[in-house]
Amino acid sequence: MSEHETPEGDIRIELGDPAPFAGEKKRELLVAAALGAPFGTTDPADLALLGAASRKEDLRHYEQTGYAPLDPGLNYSIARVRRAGTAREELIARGGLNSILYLCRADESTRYRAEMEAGERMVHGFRPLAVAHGEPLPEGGEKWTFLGFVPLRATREQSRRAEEPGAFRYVPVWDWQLRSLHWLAVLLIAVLSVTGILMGSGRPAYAGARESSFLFGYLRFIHFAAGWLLLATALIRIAGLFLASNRYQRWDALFPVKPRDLRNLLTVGRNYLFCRFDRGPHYIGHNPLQQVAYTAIYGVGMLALLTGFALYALYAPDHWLFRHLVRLDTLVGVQYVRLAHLLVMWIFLAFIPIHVYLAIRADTVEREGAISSIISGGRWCRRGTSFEDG
Amino acid sequence: MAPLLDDPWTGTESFFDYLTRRGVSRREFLGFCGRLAVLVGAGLAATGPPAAAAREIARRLGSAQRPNVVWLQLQECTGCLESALRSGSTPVDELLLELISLDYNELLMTASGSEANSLLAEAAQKPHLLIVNGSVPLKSHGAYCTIGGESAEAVLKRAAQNATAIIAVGACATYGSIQAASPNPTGAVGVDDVISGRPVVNIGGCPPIAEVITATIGYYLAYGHTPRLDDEGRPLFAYGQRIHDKCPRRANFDAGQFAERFDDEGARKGYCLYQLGCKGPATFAPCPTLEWNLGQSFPIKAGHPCLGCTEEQFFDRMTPFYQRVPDIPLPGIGVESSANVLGAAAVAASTGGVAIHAAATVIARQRKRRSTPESLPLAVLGETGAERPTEKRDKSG
Repeated sequence: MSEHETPEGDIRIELGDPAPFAGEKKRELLVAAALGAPFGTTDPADLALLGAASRKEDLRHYEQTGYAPLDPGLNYSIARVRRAGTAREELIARGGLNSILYLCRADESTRYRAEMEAGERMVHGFRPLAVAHGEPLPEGGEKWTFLGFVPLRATREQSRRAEEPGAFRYVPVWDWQLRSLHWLAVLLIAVLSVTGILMGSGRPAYAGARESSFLFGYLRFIHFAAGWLLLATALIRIAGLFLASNRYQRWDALFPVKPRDLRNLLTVGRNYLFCRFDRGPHYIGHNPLQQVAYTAIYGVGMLALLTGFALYALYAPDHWLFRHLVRLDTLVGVQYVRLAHLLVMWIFLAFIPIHVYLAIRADTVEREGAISSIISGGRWCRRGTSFEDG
Repeated sequence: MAPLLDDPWTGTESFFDYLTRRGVSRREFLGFCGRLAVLVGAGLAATGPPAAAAREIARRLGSAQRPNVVWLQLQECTGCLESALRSGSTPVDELLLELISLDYNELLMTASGSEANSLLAEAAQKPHLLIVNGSVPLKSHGAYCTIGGESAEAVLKRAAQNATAIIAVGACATYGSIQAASPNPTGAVGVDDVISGRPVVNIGGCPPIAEVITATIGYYLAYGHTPRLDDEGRPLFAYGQRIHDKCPRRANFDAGQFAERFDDEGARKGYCLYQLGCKGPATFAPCPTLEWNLGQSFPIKAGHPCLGCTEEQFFDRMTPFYQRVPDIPLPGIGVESSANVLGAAAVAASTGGVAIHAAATVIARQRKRRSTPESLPLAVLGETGAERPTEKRDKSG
């Protein structure tokens, strides 16, 4: 996806603060602007206006009886609207500020005020959509009243969430089983790291160890027990890779192998590298970079288990299972297995800040809801966003 | 006791008859067999109670015939044989070692020159037990170790031809030991790298404990075959258990009491030497149970960390001897750094990188906020080029 093609789902229409004239209220101005849209419109600006107005008033009370599309010469469109239960028709004209002011034969002071206010508000790419109300006169022709204007802006940027209430849908992503495994693994890795550091170089911790104590033995016991539990979580996770019904948890969600995913991998990498947060491929599960990073950390975890149990196996090298693990010790040397085990812990510890940062960032900057999804299991997705893995 | 050559064990005499003739009492012999049964049985989970095993060994060993032994010494320091000669915690140990028919051994025999060579040729013709000390250097066509003008490899191969069993004694003979350490300039290898297709008993250690050698020979004499071996070809009865698990300082390890330096309070109190680089947790040897020099002591008991000499390539893999884990060489700089320093640096780098990236994100956002945002054309204002929604994009997924 080049940066200059915008999927329609990514176009954001932002409405500014409506500027009513002729004693109207903002609400009425907004409703009028929405009623000026052609029936069955798909224009994003119209949809935004309709969405905003429908929260103010039930638009089903109105019926459109005619519509004259925007005339490039006149630069306004006219909708003919009738309120249900009444016979009287009203006209709503929408278009550029100057055209509408001209249509209304606005007096000098209105014109001056409208242009000034538009000038003040029309910063940051907002432009005025002027609205006029017309009443058919008995003698023919119409009497037009300038209602005001609504600032509009179309961008490819994501707007602030607060501007689009209700524009999100809740998508369940991670099962409770996966979340339990994740947080259990977090706990176990913390326990394993702390006991591991203490065992390796925790002189202060056991400096006062007395003759009769079993301090180091308990440390080892906790370390081994946590190691066995981590092995259990890993086995359950591996089984889940093939058995889970949740597609975001299956094995193929771990590897960006499709050509599209590989392309997106580059895009996401570029976005992260240059601190961009406004565009890029959207994924419900993990994006390709996350897939690579988290699959790698699974691999590191497996290495931790392998080296850890290879060291543990030394206590019973004849054991039917451990005798195979001891082969690793024989192959590379026990001390280097020990070294690898220690390095693996440091890789984990170095990974944690990055992992937590990216997850928080996905929640706050990219609004992809990674933190919330690993806690609550689901995330809020913007309606209309098209997801690569959706 | 009479000197060796005065009163040899003849080829037809049984071992027990011979011992009786040499004044060894039956009690002493049975005591030896009991120790052998316990030693061998400890690693083998021998069937039946040890007493029965001892009687079985006594029966078999007592009736054993005198074996011919060729004891080769190749590329080595003779330390293993020195260690073996210091066996002898009982008279039987001594007799077992001294009175096997040691047809050929470079260090002990009186013959020399062509006489020695012809002894070897003669001994190698008969069925015999082959014991080897020392490694076999293969580089430069074996020029680094020659005996009587022949390379160690050729000597070994010829001696092995009619051997009924081959016992490689010492780290050199099992894999090459120190001379095989990187970069292994002489291309030294162990016996089982040269002799293929035949079981070789590896008695690891630099040097091995003498009693392990005598026990292995005794087992072979008694049963006519070699004892059960582990994956590295070492007799399980001796190398089946970790030093760490039988260490007299294990209680200090479990309590968390460590010597940090060789002259600190912990060292004086005899605390665990793990933090001083003891390789006991990675080393399989019977040192804590058998001990050395007639059961007097062994390195850890004497206050020195285990170097792990019974493990393969201990000079490459167990070094640095006085550190718990090896350092990591930083490529290109020629500096070594400890894993913990490197790891802490990695954590600091990742935390710092995250902080920098977060700051860059904040700056990028603020710059974006200050700059005029892009504004697409609006169809409702009659602007051309407005992107109108079309059907949903096709999803290939």
